[in-house]
Amino acid sequence: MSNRDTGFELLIRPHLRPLYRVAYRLTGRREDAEDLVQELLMKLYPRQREIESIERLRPWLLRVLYCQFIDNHRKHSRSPLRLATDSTAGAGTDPLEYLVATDGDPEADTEQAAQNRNLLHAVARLSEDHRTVLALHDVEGYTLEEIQTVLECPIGTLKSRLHRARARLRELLEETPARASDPEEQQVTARLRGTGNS
Amino acid sequence: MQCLSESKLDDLLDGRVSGDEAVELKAHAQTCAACGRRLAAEQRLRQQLRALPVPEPDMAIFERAIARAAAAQAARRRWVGGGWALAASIALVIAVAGYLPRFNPVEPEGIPGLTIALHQVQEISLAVESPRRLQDARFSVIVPAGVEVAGHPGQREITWTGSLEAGQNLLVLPLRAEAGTGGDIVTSITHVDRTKIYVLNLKVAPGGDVHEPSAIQAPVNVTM
Repeated sequence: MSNRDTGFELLIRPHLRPLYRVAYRLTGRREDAEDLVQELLMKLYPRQREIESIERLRPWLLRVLYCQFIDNHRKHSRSPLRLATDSTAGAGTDPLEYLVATDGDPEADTEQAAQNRNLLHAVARLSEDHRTVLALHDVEGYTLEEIQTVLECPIGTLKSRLHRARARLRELLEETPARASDPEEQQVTARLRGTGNS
Repeated sequence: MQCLSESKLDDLLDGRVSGDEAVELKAHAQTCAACGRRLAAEQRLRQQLRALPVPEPDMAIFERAIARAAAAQAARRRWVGGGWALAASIALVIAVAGYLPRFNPVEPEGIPGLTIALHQVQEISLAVESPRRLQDARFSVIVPAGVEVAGHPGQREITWTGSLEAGQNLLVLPLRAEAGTGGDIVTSITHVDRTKIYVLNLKVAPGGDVHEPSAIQAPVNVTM
């Protein structure tokens, strides 16, 4: 690898995981998040000189990532159906590991997974603006000043948006209906059939 | 002291209230049961949000992307530097571009928003493409307020266990809208270690008791 390659990698490497995390929060899918970060790397590689001169690189990189996400999103979202989350795990990992963060108590595991699922449902139903500011601030821990760089939005606006996002999230979580105790007993009117059945 | 507003609660938890005011607010939350509960609930929610998991990425993908970017740049330099490598460099760039992953949306283009009429049962189909037969999949459908799945009055969520056949499966939802303007239908399918959650925006056409049924939209393909 040339000195130039090494230089770019040294600049970018400390930011790869944080970039991926935000990409995942934006896209909701591991593969799409990986694609988004790859696109970013391909786009930024020729701009190494410019990157070297940037003082606060992380928010700047996130800004470019976010713009890339918006561009992709505009190109591809014509359907009213959007894929909100995909919990497909990578090969060789415990598929449920990332849904559960307990000490192995089976009842706690189930409850934790259910809580995570309810929370993911509710977050998925937020508007894009609300979801983005909530993901950056409350989930990933960026400050409003950093988010101001990413979204190019005044701090006052971000503060209001964050407040409304949290309020809306609380409403959605309160709306989550109680589950039936035994789904097997339900008479299901929704039919599931294979191709070709009338 | 007055109870904490939502805005003040946010400011307190975000660390934007300092000094005497913060002490005062926390003291109030300890003596006021309602504010204490709200503060605790909000703290728990924030902890849950911070703990939302992220699947581990394949870091080698990023290293390969940097290597491809370097190769593409080197190819461009050779072309600029001297025409003798032109054909080879174009071939290299094309080969590099061929490895770039593309985002392939599974939704077909041109599907309009889904609309149903008030007070009529209408069926909406979701086409679920599965590479193989999957037994014991868990299905969950949450409908917006004012909408119900026919046969399940008053239930906003129904869950059941079923199977997906190899190929295309149609999840047919007979919906009736009794009020409101619609909202999100959240559908999730879980099989062993994989869950997909889909959000579908549904609109309810306003009007009187009798309507011409709106066109049933074409199935929206989603790949499991």
